[in-house]
Amino acid sequence: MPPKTLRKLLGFLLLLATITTVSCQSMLEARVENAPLLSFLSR
Amino acid sequence: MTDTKPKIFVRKPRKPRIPKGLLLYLLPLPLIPGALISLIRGDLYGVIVNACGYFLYCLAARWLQLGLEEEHKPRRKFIGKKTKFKTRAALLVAGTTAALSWLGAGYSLWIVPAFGLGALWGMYLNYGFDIRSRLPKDFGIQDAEAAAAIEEAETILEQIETANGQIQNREFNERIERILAIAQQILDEIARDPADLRRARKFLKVYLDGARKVTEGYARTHLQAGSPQLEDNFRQLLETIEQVFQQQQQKLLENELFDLDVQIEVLQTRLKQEGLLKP
Repeated sequence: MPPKTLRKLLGFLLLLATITTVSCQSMLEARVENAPLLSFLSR
Repeated sequence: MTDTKPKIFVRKPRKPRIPKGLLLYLLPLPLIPGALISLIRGDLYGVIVNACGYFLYCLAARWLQLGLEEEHKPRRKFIGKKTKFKTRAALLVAGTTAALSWLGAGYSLWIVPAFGLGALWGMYLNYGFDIRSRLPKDFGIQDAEAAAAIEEAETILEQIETANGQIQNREFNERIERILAIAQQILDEIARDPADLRRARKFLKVYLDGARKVTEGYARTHLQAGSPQLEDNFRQLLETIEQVFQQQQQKLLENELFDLDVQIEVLQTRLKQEGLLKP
């Protein structure tokens, strides 16, 4: 595989892993009781 | 009876494919249902986090698109400008991912930097940062000067194009168009590597200006006093200019400074002989 393609593939996988994970998790956690900022501030 | 006259095949110029950075619109799509679910549940916090997250990714995608478009406009639109859209977009994606991993996804603060750095690295590998930062530190000519020189050269090309429009000779028109195409490629090359401007300075001054004077001169005179002798001289000059432009492009690519100067001297002498340059 050419280095440029490999680099692009790795970049794509990294973006997929980080952005998708965070977005999906954020969608699942979208509830007041789980909001970390509120629990952090109320400590 | 059907018309069987063959159609002339005209190849359309191929447009360069510019990546649009669509990935940044698509990957965070789960944030939209996230915001909607939060809205249905009356969870203002969830709505704000998810909606702001998606908005920031969209903003980063727009910046990235601007950066990628800028990269595909190599000449005067690129040199001398200090916009850094791609780097800015990468930093925004990293910041948004880190913030969302903490505020939205509820990860612990220890893992948050890993998400941010992962996204930043992904952006770098996939799209890269802005090219301008790769300019050599010993670059002797100011960026603004390089941009001005290229802009000046493009004005000369436009003047040649205008003069070409006044010349009613298909052969000459085609030759001049070829010369213009080579000149554009040379300017592209200079814009890609501004250090080339040092070597191409004489080309921009002597060759390009010479070509303009020759073309404008012929455009002015051939309608009033067209003669076979004038046509022959003009044809020969155009041949020389085209040849020298091709050599110039080649030398520029090969970084051969000495040969280039010799070639320029030859054309300079030729133009002086034709009375187009002051001795």
